[in-house]
Amino acid sequence: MSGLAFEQPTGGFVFDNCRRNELLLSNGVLPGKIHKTGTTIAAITYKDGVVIAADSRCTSGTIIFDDNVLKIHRLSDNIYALGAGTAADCDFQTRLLESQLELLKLNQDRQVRVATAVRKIQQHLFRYQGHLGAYLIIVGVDVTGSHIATVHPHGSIAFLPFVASGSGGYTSLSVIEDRFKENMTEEEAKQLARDALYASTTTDLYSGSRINMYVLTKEKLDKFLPYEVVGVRSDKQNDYTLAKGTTQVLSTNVKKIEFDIVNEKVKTTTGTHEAMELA
Amino acid sequence: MDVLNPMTYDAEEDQLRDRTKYSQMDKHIIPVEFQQQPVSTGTTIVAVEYDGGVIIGADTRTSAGTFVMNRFTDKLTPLTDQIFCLRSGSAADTQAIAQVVTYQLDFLSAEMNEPPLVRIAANCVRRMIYQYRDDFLAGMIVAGWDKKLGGQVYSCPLGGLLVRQPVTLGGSGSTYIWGYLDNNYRPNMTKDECYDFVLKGITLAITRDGSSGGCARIAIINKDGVERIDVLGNDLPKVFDL
Repeated sequence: MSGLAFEQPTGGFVFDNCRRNELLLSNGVLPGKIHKTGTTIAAITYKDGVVIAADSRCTSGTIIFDDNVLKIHRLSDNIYALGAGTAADCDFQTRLLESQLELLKLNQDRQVRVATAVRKIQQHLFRYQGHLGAYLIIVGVDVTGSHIATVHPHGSIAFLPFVASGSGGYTSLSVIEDRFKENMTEEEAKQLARDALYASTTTDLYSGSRINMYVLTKEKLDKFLPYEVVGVRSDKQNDYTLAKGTTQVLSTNVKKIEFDIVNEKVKTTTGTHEAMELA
Repeated sequence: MDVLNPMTYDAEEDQLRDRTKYSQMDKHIIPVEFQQQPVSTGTTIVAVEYDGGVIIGADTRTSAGTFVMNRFTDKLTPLTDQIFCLRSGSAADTQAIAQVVTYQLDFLSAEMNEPPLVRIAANCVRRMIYQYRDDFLAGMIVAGWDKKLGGQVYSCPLGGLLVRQPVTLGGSGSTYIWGYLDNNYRPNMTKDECYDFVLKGITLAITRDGSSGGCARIAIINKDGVERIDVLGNDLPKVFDL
């Protein structure tokens, strides 16, 4: 083995696979289509704070992979993030941001502001020029009031009184646009958020299962996990078990099988097993 | 750089560079309906000097493809107390430039112990655009008031040019109102005439350009400070709308 110096791995993205992909593409090898995992996330400001709502469905193709995913991430006691887009990017970037904000809070000895969180994640995403596919909604209440901001993968932000994002975002947004008023009460805001999410969980295939909701004010954080379960499987209309004798027996043949006991193992079973549903 | 044989723009070379630089894989993997459009401030921005200050204005639409992301954007971003920049192009790029330049000018004003000149601010913006000209999509106008030269408007378009102009337009909607400018702008207009000119120009551009819309945000910058006026959609001047 020749004296190869140990190479320190360089930080950042490695684009070697892109070169391989380009080569394959030029040889006519097409990649498989990506699977879309949808989401609906929405946030609304009201008189005392903010209401945030998210669905809980995670799909892989047309199969519901996980029907109880929490798409609301904690950044600080008073700041939360909703994530749409690439799930891994949302999870990791919010976790990274959470730890940075915790350090900042300990350093400056005061509650972290929403604007700080937004500025930090904006500059981080801008550095990666859109390759981190995280469409985030940063929400929080701090000394300056309650704020909602959208952050896009390329690093553009906007502070707005209400936002909705994800594959079902358009549907939710139209419901919110119709009924949003300044300084709503908490009940009105929760009802509006619920209706907005209900509209998209029932119309968008990639959103659904449950509506999770948090209500965030200066004093409290109320968690509703779930606020409502959408799309519950209804009770069966009929009894589909078949009576004994439905299938006609034509002939019966009983045979004795010779066997030796090779190994014996005794195990206690706890609880009863439910019968397998056949209908 | 060769002065006798300057670099000319070659469309084919530009396309080739585009093809080799970015992966074409995305076009195959992601079906068309799921491809997200970049967020741009396809926009109309106007700035005009008058005796004693400047009047700047912009529409309020930020779009991502055909979806309006924000219908009440503020494209008039303060760089210092009396210098503003108008942003057009990619939302992320222009926001990043504005943030960096704000920091640079803050630092500079601490060093010089006086507010920075408008030309310095414009130069900072222009240098950022020029340095990253291959990566950024940002066309900005820097306008403000300083003690030395009064009200000034500087245009910093895509490639990294810096030029002072008494009146200038920017953004996708500007193409529809160059004719209006040529016909209606006269040098040495009063403050109110300039205000009407800016407001009418933005309204006309909003009427014709799909990427511009919403309301009009106007700011008047002079030695007394900044006066911000938001003209909401139904209050915009009436134009003959077919």
